[in-house]
Amino acid sequence: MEGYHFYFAPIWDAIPAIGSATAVAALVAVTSILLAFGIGTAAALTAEYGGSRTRMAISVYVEAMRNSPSLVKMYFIFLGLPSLGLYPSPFWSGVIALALHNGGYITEIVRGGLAAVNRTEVQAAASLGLSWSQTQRLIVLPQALRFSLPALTNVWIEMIKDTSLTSALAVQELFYVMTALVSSTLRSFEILIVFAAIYFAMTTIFALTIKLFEVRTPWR
Amino acid sequence: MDRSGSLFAITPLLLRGFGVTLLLTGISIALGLVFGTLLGCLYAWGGRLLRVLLFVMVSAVRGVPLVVQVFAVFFVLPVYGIKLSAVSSAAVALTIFASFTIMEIVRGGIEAVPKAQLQAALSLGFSFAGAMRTVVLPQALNSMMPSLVNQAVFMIKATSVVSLFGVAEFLYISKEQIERTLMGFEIMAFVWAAYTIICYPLTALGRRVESRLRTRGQTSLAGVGG
Amino acid sequence: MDRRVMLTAFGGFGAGAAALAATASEAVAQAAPQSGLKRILDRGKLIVGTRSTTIGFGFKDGKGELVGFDIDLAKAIAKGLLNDETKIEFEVFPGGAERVPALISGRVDIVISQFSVFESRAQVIDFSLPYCNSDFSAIVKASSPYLKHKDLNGKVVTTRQGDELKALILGAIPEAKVEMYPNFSDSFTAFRQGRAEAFFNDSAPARYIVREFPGQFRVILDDENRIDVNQYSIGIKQGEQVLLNYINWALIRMRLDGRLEAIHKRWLESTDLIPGWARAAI
Repeated sequence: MEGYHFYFAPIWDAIPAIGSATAVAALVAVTSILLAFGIGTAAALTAEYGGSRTRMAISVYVEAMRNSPSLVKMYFIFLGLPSLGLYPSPFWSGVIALALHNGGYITEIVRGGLAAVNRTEVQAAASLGLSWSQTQRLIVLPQALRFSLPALTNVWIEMIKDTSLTSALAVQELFYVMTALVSSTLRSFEILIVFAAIYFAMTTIFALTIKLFEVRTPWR
Repeated sequence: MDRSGSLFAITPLLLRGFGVTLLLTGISIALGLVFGTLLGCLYAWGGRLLRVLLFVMVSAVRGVPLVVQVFAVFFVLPVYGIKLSAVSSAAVALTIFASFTIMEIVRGGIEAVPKAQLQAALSLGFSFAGAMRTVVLPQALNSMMPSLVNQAVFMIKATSVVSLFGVAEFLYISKEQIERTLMGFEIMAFVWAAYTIICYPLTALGRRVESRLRTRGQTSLAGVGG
Repeated sequence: MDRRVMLTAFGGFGAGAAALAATASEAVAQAAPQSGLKRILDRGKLIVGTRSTTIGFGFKDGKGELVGFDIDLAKAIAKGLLNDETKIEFEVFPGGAERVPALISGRVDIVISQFSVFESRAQVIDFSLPYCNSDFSAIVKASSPYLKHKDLNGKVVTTRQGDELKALILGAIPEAKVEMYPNFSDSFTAFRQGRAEAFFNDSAPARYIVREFPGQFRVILDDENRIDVNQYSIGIKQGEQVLLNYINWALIRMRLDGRLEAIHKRWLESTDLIPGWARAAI
């Protein structure tokens, strides 16, 4: 190969494909982040206010998620469930795997946040006549989430990056399209730079948006 | 194609794959510790330019998915004439990732040691490197421990990513066997259990180290790093 | 503060990319060219690119050994070149996408991996004489009702990722729902699990599959509507005329002494797929 001449033309041609790939990646990210947050918060609340046996069950869930790669869950759902007659699509296999896996981390984080909320606040709320669920909703949870936000942001950023793993299930997201483009255009350098920049932009913009949200929201 | 489908029959193949996983984990952690410590020290005490450079690099490593970094090593190195085997390329990519993540841990640990310690050591006549080696780093190590243990667990899981590049590690071999035997459920359940059994002791250790730190009144850096 | 951070990071990113580019052009320009054939002989080892996901041609058997038609062919070439069929190293790609880049970058000497000649590929690499005929065919479950290609209109079919393959299928079966997986093994598994009604692969591996899973599968034979009649060749880096000549002569030799036919018989149990040049009377 004589000297490397940068040649971005094939990339311009592929912009529609790159655009839809980014959209798919964003969709996977948003869906799994929302699901993971729901699962994690629900599990944390269940553990915090359930009996010791519930707490044990939640711990089992958390450890089962933390101690294995998310790819394993993806393959388990996508390749394993058909043996039971279920055929989850590549998209949902990836999303549910990511949601379950990171739900484990979020459970731990939210539990930490809940523990950090001052017990006296809860008593004060009770003495003011607030019901249990009102206390949870208006006092405890918001503060717990505020404490957890930095750690949660880290998990969410990992999740955005881990959408690239769903390419193993042939989900047509960024990384999948990236490898396809390299094989058809052979411009590995240019493609690497463009796609790395897209991912970097996604994670940085996300992190900055959360920071902005943190600053502007009127916490007490 | 022979149909020896029982889990028992394919275990030797899975073990071979697991050996590759352990090899990649070991190399990336060992070299990652060496380079990461070096880089962490450089960051903590280096000049402005060095810090900016390292900051850019660690932002890239943390803001871009690991698969993209492995891809870079696989597809960009050959342009420079460096032709590595698949396993070596994977080891290089994982080591780079580990080095920069550990760099952040080490930097945090060093910065957590009160500056007075370093100044006292220097005034006692220690050379800079000597002060670092005998006074600062050992104290930094305490706060770094939980994060380092977590990072080790993270690397074990991270090696699974190189299966997407055809590296014959544990997850890749198990997927091959699923294609051969169609025992997707059994094999993936086994793989899940295997990873959990290997990682859980380490995770528990990390948590114990962290709680011991907290009872001693030191804050840990858990949350930094993977 | 954060704006500075972001600017630094992006600026650094750009600077890094530029530096990479500059050094890359330097490095590549300095690499001195050497005849591929001589390089192999000096090295004493043939590096062959192949896949482990092509059933019948390059795949792992029950003991985890890499076997198949392409593997046997590669070993035969190593034997002729270096007098020892074990003086060979296989670079195994997880999917078809890496074949062309690996040749261009010099990571492998030759590629033997169900490599069909498409015009787009032939513009960037060289191909040898063909060693096996094939056309793109649909494998279906033996019990299914599909007899012709048009029966698959509206059905889910699967094959490995590749724009050219998708175009081939849609050209013959416009209403087919094509789902592509990273490689042939993945798509075959998806098909077997019931995610698709048909699995598209070349007719040569299709024959192997039908034989290996007796009674489970059959190939759709649709002579009026054959999809992409093609042939497999050995891929060689462009500009390696000496190596290309050698490979071609090696193939001719293998045809003359019957080794090519032996490989066909071993994996495909027939000589139907031997290319025309290798069948003509001597």
